[in-house]
Amino acid sequence: MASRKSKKAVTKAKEETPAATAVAPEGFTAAQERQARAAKVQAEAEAKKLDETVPGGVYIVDGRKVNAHGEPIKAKKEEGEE
Amino acid sequence: MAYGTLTTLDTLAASQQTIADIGEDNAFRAIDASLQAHNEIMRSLVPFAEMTTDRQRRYGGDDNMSLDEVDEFGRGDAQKIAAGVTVGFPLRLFDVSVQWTRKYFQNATGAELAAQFTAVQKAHRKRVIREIKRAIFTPTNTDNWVDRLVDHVELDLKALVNADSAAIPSGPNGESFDGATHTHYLARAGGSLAASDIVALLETVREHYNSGQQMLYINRAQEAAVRAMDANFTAYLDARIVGSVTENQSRGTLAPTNLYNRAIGVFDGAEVWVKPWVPANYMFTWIDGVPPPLVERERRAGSGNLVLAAEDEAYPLRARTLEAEFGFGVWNRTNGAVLYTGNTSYSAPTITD
Repeated sequence: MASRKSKKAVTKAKEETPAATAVAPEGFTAAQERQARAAKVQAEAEAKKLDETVPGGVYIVDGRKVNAHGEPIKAKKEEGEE
Repeated sequence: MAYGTLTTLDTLAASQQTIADIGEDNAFRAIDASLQAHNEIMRSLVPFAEMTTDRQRRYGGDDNMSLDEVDEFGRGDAQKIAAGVTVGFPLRLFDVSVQWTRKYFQNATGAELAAQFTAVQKAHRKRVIREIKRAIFTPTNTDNWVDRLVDHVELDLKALVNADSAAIPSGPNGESFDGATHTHYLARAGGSLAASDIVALLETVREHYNSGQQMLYINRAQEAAVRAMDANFTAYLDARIVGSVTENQSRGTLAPTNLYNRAIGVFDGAEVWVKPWVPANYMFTWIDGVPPPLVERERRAGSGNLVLAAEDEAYPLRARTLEAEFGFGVWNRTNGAVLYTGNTSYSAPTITD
């Protein structure tokens, strides 16, 4: 049977938790800060994607899709096509 | 457009006497001196290529290991870095002949003969630039390239980092890069060129280094678009203009009349140059101060110059053949990246003069 913390223990744990000391700047809530950070991370991730390609690379040379070694890339077959 | 350097050939070019009057020896002495000056200029023309007689080098393989914590009887696991790759450099031979009859020399002026050899020097300059463009903008490796001018050994010519699964040296802070997906041949992300595309281009190279001066080379066709990105771009001003006191000022000076080959400003720390050889819709960036992206291979030190290969007299014809033996290959695969702004997939340009 899983042990259950007694009411006393929970109270003690709450007492030991240090009180938050950071003060959010005026007009800038923690939620807004999180949102701004998330947007920044998202933008960075999108920028980062630009220097990544599918494994082996896909480039167009003389109008044909080729990989990093200049070998033609075969177009994917349609679903159900043999 | 008049470009070039005044040399001893200009003395010959100013002469309206015939070659017969000037003396053939005197005329060719002037041409040889001019050729020497031309070669000196050409050897310092390309800041992002070093001269070498090597035909291949080992590249990459720098990677991370980790120290294991052990007790007194312990021994850390054996570790190894990823194997590097061999990058090969081509050697190609280019030549051109100028041919005339004896009667030509009795009629032609010094100016006419000088013009012929000036055109030869321009052809050499154009060929060097064309080979540079081929090395930079071709996104694919050329495996098993045969070194026909030497001993027919096969070399693997590599492009800049192109997701070919080869090892990539780790970044300055231990960052690792996936060789199977990491590419330095980029295309714009959205429907039109955006500042974020250029930021990504610059960072694609910058993330591999932490020093040096970054350069961004663009075609004049993209100058207006780059200038409009004023959140990232600070323009150089004509030296005669005093800038606004309420805006950031750049320290560089704009050359107002040199439209096709000049620095125009700073984009996120990189100096932006309009270059005549960059194809429209392409941008190239590299960092000056770390090993250069390209090497120029030559057979022996100094043999990559434009030199006299043969003088041939078979009356009534006489000819002079000049040749240059060199090749450009990618050496430092991470110190260079190209952005194609014309579409959302990288498309190699047609390489022309």
